Amino acid sequence: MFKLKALFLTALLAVSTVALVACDDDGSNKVNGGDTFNPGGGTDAGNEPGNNPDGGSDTTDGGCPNKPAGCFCGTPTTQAQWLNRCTNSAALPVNLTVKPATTADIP
Amino acid sequence: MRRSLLVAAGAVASLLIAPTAQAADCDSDVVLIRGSSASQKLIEAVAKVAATQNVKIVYSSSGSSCLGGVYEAVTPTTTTTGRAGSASTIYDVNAPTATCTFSTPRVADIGVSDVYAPACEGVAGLSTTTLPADVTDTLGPVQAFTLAVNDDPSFPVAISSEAAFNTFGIVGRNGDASFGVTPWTTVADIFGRKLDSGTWQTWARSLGLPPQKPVTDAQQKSGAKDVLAALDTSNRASAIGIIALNDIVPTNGVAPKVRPLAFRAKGQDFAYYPSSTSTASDMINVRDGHYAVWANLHFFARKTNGSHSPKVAKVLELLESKEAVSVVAKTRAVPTCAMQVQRTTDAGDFSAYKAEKPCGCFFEQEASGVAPASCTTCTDDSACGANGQCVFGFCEAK
Repeated sequence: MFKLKALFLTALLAVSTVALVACDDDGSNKVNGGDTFNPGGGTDAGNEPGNNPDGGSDTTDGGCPNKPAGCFCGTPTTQAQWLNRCTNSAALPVNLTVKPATTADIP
Repeated sequence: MRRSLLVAAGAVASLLIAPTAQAADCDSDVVLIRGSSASQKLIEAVAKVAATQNVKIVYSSSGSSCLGGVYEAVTPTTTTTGRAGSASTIYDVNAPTATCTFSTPRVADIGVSDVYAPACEGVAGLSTTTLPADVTDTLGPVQAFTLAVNDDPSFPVAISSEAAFNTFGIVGRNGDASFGVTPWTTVADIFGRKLDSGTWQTWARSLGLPPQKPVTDAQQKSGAKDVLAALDTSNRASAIGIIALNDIVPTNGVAPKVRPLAFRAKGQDFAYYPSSTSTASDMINVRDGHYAVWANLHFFARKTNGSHSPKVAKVLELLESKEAVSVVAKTRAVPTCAMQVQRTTDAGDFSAYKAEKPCGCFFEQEASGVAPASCTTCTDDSACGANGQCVFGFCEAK
């Protein structure tokens, strides 16, 4: 009986460990929670392509490259999720000074 | 390898657009296509394949999507040349290039546009933008549209939707200069297109600008070549223009002295090039939805008694042929079979897309000169497992 209980606990621990290290791809933490129109951390639009400014590792989990920073790693259901999916492509920050405008400002 | 492919493609293109040696009369069996000039390279590819199957194509560029492609769909007019005042190009396997005139006036069989017909609403000369019930809209390859600047390393490499909104919607219309975004603050250096241009229509919708308000008249260019010339001659950091990506693909090994900017769409955290890097040609960001400014070519064709004519049907079928995919890939356009996202309106939201016969591996091989390492070659479905299929020599998912 004791052996059976120990075996069960060992199996439970193994399953929990796998769950902890697996990619979290439920979408809850994938889109940058900040202002997507003016994401922080950008340096300059002059960055060379290929110098991905993600600051993260290249580790993949479940096929998701985990870059750039704050990328979406699940199955997209919104336009913002499509646009911000994780990718190996060069992702360039844009740091232009832009005065907010609307169609009312168009002559 | 890539260079040799480009040289080869350039050589083929040269043959196709070389001055004509003789004039030819069109016979009654040709398929007359008229519309977007941006579709010409694809038409050339399809025409070469069609010619081997006894279908001749006559192509006439009207210079715009709305007044060519959509016009032919909603208001077909008879012509002897396909375009008033100029001869068309006829593609024949035995005579690849020859001018062509019709002995009897006729209407176009297919109209080609960069945009859906309703996008042309308000364009002078169009009585309606509603397709007649007997006209079908077949989606062709995807074209990416870019904002191009002079190729100087000190100039910016990326732009946001908000910056482009101010540049083309306000400053480019002689509006309040305080909305200017450095370095694009000089109206004389902001180059747009006319109202009937599919390139403009796509950009306007992508930026949230009113499509009926392009840049000021003096800055509206008639075609891609005019935009390129304006950028080339300005050679200034403040110069910027809208253009289709395939218009800046090197021709005969010579690339225009401009380059596309990476673009950050509304709601996006970073800017992306159409391809994975500024120098790549995989078009992956268009294909998977990271680059937002693109549109399918539309092939409008009229049915008679519920069916396209056999020759028109053949042309539409060839749009996704292996030969057409190969040539399209080299022009930085994307056949629908290589797309992973789709949209159902101009600049509309994405949804997932998977072609019945996906061709991503073959596309990348043709576009880049080498297939991705993850691709497996095959000669038939048996090599691709239970969930795979052999498409154009590569295993793809069913």
